[in-house]
Amino acid sequence: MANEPREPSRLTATGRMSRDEAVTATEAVGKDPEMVELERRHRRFVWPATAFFLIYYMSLNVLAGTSPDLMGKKLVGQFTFGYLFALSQFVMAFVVAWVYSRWAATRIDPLATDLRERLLSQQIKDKEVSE
Amino acid sequence: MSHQSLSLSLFVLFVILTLGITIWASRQTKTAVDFYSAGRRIKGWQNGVAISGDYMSAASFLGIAGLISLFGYDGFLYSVGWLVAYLTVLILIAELLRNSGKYTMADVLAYRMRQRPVRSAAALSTVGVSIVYLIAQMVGAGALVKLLLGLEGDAAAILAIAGVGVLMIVYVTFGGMIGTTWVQIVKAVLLMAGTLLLSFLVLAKFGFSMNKMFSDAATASGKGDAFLAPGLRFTSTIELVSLGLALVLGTAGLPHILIRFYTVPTAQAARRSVIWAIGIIGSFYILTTFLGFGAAALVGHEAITKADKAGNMAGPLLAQVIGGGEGSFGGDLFLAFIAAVAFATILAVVAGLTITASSSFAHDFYANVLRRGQERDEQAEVRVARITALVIGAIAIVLASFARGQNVAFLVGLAFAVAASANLPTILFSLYWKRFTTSGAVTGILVGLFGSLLLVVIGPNVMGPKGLIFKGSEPLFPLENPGIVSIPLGFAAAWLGTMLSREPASEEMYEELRVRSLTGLGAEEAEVAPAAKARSSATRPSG
Repeated sequence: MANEPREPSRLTATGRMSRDEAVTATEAVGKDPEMVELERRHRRFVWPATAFFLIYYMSLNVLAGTSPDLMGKKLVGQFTFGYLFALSQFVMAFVVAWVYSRWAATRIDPLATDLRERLLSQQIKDKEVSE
Repeated sequence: MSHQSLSLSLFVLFVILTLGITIWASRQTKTAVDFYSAGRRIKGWQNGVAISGDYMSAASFLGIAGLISLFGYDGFLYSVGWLVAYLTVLILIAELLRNSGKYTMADVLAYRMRQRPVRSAAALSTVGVSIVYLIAQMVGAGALVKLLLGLEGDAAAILAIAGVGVLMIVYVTFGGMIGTTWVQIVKAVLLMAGTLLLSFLVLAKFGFSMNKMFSDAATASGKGDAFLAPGLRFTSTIELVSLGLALVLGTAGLPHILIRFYTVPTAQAARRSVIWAIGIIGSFYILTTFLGFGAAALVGHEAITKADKAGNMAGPLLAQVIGGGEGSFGGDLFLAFIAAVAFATILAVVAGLTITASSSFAHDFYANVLRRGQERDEQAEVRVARITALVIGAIAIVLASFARGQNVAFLVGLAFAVAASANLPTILFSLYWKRFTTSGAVTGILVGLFGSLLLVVIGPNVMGPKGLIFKGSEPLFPLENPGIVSIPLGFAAAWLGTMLSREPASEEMYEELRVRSLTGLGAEEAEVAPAAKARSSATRPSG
């Protein structure tokens, strides 16, 4: 099983590291405090955000099935609660997308760039030492 | 000039234009990276427009307008689901996928897993989802050409379907990914412009009062206030939840959308492209209100179902009425214009789907499984992709002839259920679950794919009195959309397959994947010059 072909490591800039070397290198990176922090931030945002939009979205279909009378109630002129609730889903999607991109630009990108550049220069140094 | 010859002239004009772009692009397609991923040089906003072009298919333009015009509020639920689905893509998938893949959806799985089994399974599900999606587009094309040429009968629809097939093959064989990217962009602009114009004119008809549009639509539908509330198309909560799950989770499992993220240079560009797509697609789906309710009020139930019993022609017929009605020059002109836009929409989506399925077959199955990834022969790979495009086109044409008379949005909803069941569990577990194994991935894909397809086949649209076979008996599965059963089934199979196996190599590689997917370290870079090309082939897997 272990001999089955897999993608060779492409984590290194040169791509010439062996798999064992790459695994050792990434284990070190995986324990890097910056990497741990990056992953923690990512998980702490994406799962709650996903839960939020899924619940908000599914409540539209659930209400459409369980409470057609409520959904058909006219709030403003011919605008029913159901139609306005459906429109609010668009607003919700635009807002969540905006919040996400703001969050990623300030909380993720700087950390990810920093980590990537540090790892890259470290690899180049390691390579020079070994040659 | 009759509306038939006018619409034909406009249509031919558009085909010449798009083929011109495709031929221009084909001169720039030289390497495999070009063919599959447009050299990773596509900008974020361009990719966002192209994603919108890939996404807004016959289902969105013809199907949703038709459902709203016949059933009112219930049709609009499709619009909502198909937009919110992009949050799943944006938040959970797009950036990590961009950093860890190369050409196809299977690249992400192959990163950690044993290549041959996962690539075979992923190629199978990519082809499966794409064919179900293609069937819907072909049905839309058939209905459209029947209306345009004023033809009656089934032979006309089959001819139309075959015509689209030929055009699509020309697109894919000559244009590759740069060609289809530009076709998507041109089509997205045309579709948005056409829809905005139509919506504006509809609103003008009602003195810019949505109130009047809603009340006229409710009156004309003969259903009164029920037309503005849920319940005319869907009466069961379980059916609604099933459809909702398929729509909101399906997009993140659509191979032809996912591979678009490989065409951009960075994760940030991938994020920007989803934001652009959400803006464009969201605006479009809000406008489906005017297409649908406008058609209900101005065209009327009888005329819509007379042209196509599933309502697929509501949008083009609305254009005809707005332009001055049947027989008037304005009516014919506007009908021709909107029909050409719809046709371009279908062609572009068909091209995007076909190139995805054929790339996956050539790259995942032919190059990495049959040839075991040795001595990469790029020319042979591209040739296999072109032959696959032919075969897939032929299969879709045959199956579409059975699905005639179904609503296009409904049919695409099925493709979403298949995508969410077969692909999403495996993609999510690959990116987020360290313990995940090859057995889990293969089980998840196969159970999700065949489970969802089987439930459609034994469901009310194929089996039983309203279906195609065993009309005398009741369908074995009560729901039209299988999502609520098949999606959890796909997740459960992927989980169970994982728990029954152990794969330390996958767990080790996960460490590498998480660093790479979050930081972009070692991710595929944009190819800018021949020198860069040479470097990338030097580092390409050798076996």
